[in-house]
Amino acid sequence: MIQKKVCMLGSFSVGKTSLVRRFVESIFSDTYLTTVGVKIDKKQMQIDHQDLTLMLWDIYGEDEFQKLRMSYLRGASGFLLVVDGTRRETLDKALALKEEADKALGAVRSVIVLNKCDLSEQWEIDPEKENSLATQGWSVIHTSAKTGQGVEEVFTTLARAMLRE
Amino acid sequence: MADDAVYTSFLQGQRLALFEYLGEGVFRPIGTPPGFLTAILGRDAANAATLRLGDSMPFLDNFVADAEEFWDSHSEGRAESGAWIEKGEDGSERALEASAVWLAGRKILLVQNPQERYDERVRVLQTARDSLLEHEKLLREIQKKEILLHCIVHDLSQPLTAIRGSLSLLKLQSMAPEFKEVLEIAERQSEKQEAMIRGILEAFSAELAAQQATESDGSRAPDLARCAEKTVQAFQTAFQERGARIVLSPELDLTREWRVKGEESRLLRIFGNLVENALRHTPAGSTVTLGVTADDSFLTGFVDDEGPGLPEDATATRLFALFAKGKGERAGKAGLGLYFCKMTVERWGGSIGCENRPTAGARFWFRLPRAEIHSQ
Repeated sequence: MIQKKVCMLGSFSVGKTSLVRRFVESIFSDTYLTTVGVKIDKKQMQIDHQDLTLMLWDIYGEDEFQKLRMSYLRGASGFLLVVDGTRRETLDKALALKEEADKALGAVRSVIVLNKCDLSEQWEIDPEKENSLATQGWSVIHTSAKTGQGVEEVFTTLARAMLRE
Repeated sequence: MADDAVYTSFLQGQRLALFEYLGEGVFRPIGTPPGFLTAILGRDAANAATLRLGDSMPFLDNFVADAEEFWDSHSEGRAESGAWIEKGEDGSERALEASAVWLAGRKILLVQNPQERYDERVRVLQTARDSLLEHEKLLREIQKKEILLHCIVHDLSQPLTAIRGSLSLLKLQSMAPEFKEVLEIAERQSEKQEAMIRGILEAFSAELAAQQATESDGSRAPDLARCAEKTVQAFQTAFQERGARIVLSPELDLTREWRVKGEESRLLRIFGNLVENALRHTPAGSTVTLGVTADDSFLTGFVDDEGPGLPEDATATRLFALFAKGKGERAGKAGLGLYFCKMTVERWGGSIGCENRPTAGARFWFRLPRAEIHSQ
């Protein structure tokens, strides 16, 4: 069976762990529990009649307290750049992390995940910004780990892109 | 108790497992594996003569590459993995850390379960991040309120334009001198009100320009010394009218480059606001001096006056606060000038302050990061 390593990247409290839990265990909790260190989960999928195991590396959100180790990304076939749509600055952070990772390891398939789309009244990402990212070739998907919206789609989109390589 | 038993007991107590690396991802356990590892690997695997730790723990599989690099380099010290979480067979989660070391000429991997230390770290980081999120939330709330206030002030300015137009039309009519005087008072007050509204709007615009790009690179970044020079030229007449002088510090070398992160028009406003403030406190016959000093990665612009100095109860926090106007006849107009300076300088990653000078008068200063000059 094909196995692919996927790293969840993004600022703290954007919902990386919640997305993985929703995808793997179909569970969501509103309580924010910070991730310290790395947690790896497995999920088996079937994409276009092909069996695939995703190794999901849920990596702590980088901030002034914890710096991301590039060695954790070694061997990754895909990144999910997770953004909290209600905190505009987390998009810049996700893109900066991707740039740093590309410099260290070369380009890796990535999808931008605009999470917490259930909080539409607090949304801070301009549609123009999204369009501009799409124009630059990014896959941008809205998700809500809370409602489950877009979660399956995000992983499927990335899995399909990784399998095409 | 035999030595081996003491050794094994010690490792168990430390929640520490030792493995010798045999190459190709294969490890040999040294001593009896502690309980935490048995819970993760399963009893059979944990007690095997050799095992591939990476098969059960993909994180460790990734770390072996770093460990091999360390062992091959024959360096002193250790290579550390950082923390990761493993789920045991019973479903409980355990925090682990691994280190690669050389011991007695052998490649040794230490795997530890520092649960208390890890839990404490989680508690500290959780508190710090919760506080950061709360802080971000408060800032957002403040920004929303400021935008609302900005809209209100903007709306207030519109009828004023009509009032001022009507007053101008009235002035064209012939009327008794006492009415004309009243009309002039109304006109002066409406002008003053318009200036205040403009000031408020500009201060808010400065705040809302938080994401506005600044010139931080190369020849396009503004030159702080040139801004000081332009400010001195712009204020010559105002100072002459007051019988005072405004000069550039004789120590300022204008042949050097003094480029900072920022944007020129707003830098000129910062110097201008500080000079206006100094002018209000400048006695006739005295001099206001503008200059720039440098340290490693920052430049500091300053405005020195020879006035009475800062009041005893004045603090930088209070002076640079929104609507802080000072007291008495030398009070500012709307309390927005210094606030604008503070907002703008901080946005550019700098700081602003004031202090009494050792001789006489006060110094108002602002410190900004140097622009990065990239050579081709």
